Amino acid sequence: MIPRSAPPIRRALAALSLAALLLPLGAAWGAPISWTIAITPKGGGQVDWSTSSPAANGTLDASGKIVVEQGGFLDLTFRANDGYVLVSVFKNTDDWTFFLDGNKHFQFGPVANAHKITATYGVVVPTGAFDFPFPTGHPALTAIASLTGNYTGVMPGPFFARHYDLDVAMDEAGKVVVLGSVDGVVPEPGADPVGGAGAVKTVDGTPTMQLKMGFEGTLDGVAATAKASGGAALDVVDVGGGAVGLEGTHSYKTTLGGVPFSEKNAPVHASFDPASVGNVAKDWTLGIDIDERTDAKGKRYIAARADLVLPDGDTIVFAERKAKYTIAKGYSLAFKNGTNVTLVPPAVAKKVKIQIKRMTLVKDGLVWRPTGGTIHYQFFGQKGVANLVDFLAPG
Amino acid sequence: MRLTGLAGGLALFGAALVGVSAWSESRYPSGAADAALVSRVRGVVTKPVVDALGREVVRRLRGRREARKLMSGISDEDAIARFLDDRTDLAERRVYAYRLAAIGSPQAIAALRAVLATAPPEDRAFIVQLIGTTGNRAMKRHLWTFLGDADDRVTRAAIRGLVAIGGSDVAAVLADLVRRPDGAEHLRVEAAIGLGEMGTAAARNALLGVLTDAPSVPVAAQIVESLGRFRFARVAATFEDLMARPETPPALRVAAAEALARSNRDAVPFLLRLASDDADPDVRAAAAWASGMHGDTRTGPRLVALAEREPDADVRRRLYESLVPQPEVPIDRLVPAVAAEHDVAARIAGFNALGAVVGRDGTAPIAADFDAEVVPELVRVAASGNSLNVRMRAVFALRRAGTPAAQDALVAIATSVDAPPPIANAARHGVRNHP
Repeated sequence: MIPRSAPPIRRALAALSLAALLLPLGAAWGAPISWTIAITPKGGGQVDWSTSSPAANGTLDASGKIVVEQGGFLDLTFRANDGYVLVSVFKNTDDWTFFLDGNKHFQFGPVANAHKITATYGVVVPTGAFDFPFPTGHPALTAIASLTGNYTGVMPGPFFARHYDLDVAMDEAGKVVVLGSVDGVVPEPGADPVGGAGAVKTVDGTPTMQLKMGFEGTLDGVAATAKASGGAALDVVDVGGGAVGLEGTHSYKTTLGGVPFSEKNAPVHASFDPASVGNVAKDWTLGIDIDERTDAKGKRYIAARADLVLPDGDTIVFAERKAKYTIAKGYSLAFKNGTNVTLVPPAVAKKVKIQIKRMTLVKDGLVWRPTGGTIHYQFFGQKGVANLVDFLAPG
Repeated sequence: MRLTGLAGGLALFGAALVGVSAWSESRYPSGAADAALVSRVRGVVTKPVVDALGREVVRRLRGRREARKLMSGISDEDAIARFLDDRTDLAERRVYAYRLAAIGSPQAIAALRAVLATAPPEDRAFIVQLIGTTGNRAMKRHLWTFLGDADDRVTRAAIRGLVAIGGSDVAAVLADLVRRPDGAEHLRVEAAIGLGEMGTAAARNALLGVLTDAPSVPVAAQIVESLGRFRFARVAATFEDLMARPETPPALRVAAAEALARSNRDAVPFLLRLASDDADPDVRAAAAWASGMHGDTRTGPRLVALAEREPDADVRRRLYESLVPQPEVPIDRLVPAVAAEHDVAARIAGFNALGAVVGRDGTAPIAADFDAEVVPELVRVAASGNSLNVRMRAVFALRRAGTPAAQDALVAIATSVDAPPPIANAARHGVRNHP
């Protein structure tokens, strides 16, 4: 304001100055002004807008411009797309986030200048504990067999079937040692007990065992030697007579009472005592914990760790590692070089690997639920791939 | 009368010859390296006799297996009628396919064709494979078409059936299947398995040929697995080249080393070279394990020497495992090596090697040390919360040693209320004269 007491010349100059200042504005009153709205990342969210003059509205789902007449008002409402959350809104370099109302809305105006509004959205990171128990309803889903245990049954001998007791130890790489006894078979004093060694591996999607054995001693009191190797798919099948067991092929060279005989790739089947079948354990369970962490520099990152309980009860702990998540591809997690904490002292389990590919999730109430992805598993010398959701307990 | 007497005399002589031959070969094997001249002469006389006996044994064994599948209690017409009787579930009557394929008559073939034309894939696969297991070469031409079946189970069964029949034409077709770039990987793998199963020179050449086509790692791994089934001299150059080439993927090198577990023991020197010198510990471990699969190869001192300087515990574990069947083990060097082990799997593997030495000679000076120091530790491990596999192998070490202290330990584990059933049972099975 110019004081009335000011000399007339000063009042005139002041009036001229005010007129000079207001003239351009007056000339531009109602002129269109373009605001830039930046949405980052692309696809992270949308901006609903409306302008008082001209009276218009719409939605931006990507960065763009909104024209509003000078003196008008611009209403912006920021909406995050599924899987995203609004992180910040900046007006030029000023953080405007805290001026938004509960509906993530703000009314800008009366508009005098062009501005840039930057809406930044962030991916909502699904976190929590995810358990993938063995799919007991779909045992065929997994191509893993653990054999450690005791097996009793009847195996075919060269002349008649014999009762056997076999004890099997299988390590984390699928290497197998078998010790046992067979009716009428007595090892030579000082010779190894009846048994063999071999390995289980996945062949064409099926756990398959290869076994080699050698024997020196007597069979029903008659001097005998044998060298045999055989293979069988570890599918427990009906081997006839209502018995269950394994079917496969074997090659052997044997001498019995000085008479040598041998066969190559001859079919063989060995029946199990039904109680033994439970030894062919396939059940294993994976638990994954995913969380958000902040590093020393204040930067946030996703961390994942996992516990794998193998069919023989060994627990492999995979230490926390950084993980990546995207809305489109979900999580891809690789767990290897875990520690077998059942061993005393614990040791690195080099032969145990789990890979989760493209694990997508949706929020179900307060918890996240996997909706897709595959699990690639490798342990006990075997491996397989399965659909992740098949491992989830129903309901 | 005189003729009958002569025949009786000849029969008696023949029986005596067979009996003497069998006894003689049993006590003094003609192939034994230390056989004296007399034994070798005996071998010339008696070996043909026992060999003929062996062939007869095998013939009878095969005949007995065959009889079960042939359903030999019924006529051919009955077998065909039962196979065609659609009032019975196909899962029950499909077993007659073996008999029909073995007969191979026009009626049997017609019946097989009729059923195969409408059978669901799982039955079709079963029948196709069963046809092949007869080994009837005439059935080959009926199986070729199923290699192109829309259902993979049937294609796989056709491969297995054709492999059972065999022949160079089958080897050639399987080689094409392995080579086919547009083929499903699991069928290419199945064809490679089949070639290994056949074991013929044609199959080997086919496998060697397709390996040079740079197949995917899973297919290549199966090819080397199948090649590993041949005598080492026949495939040595390929394995040596594969292991020497820097571009060979690590997983394939491991698969190749393990595959030689199925070759003959001529592969052992090569495997021990890998176990000693390869830069990849996984390959060294695989080679050490594969060498042990050949049993007694008189390599005890070499294996102990390798274990002494091996930095990787996994490799040492496999070296100790390979020591178990070796009769000549430098025990004075093995004991400190095992005593220094901190990795429990390697340590227990070492105890198994020591147990085997003690088991072969219970009077050896090591036996007393084993009883005093190793047995208590094995009992502790067996009774601990350690991995089931490790605990089972601790029991195995006690069983291998077989000393009185080890036997007492087995009894204690077998009756312990803390031992889980697999461990208690394994211990009980190791107790002499166990119930």
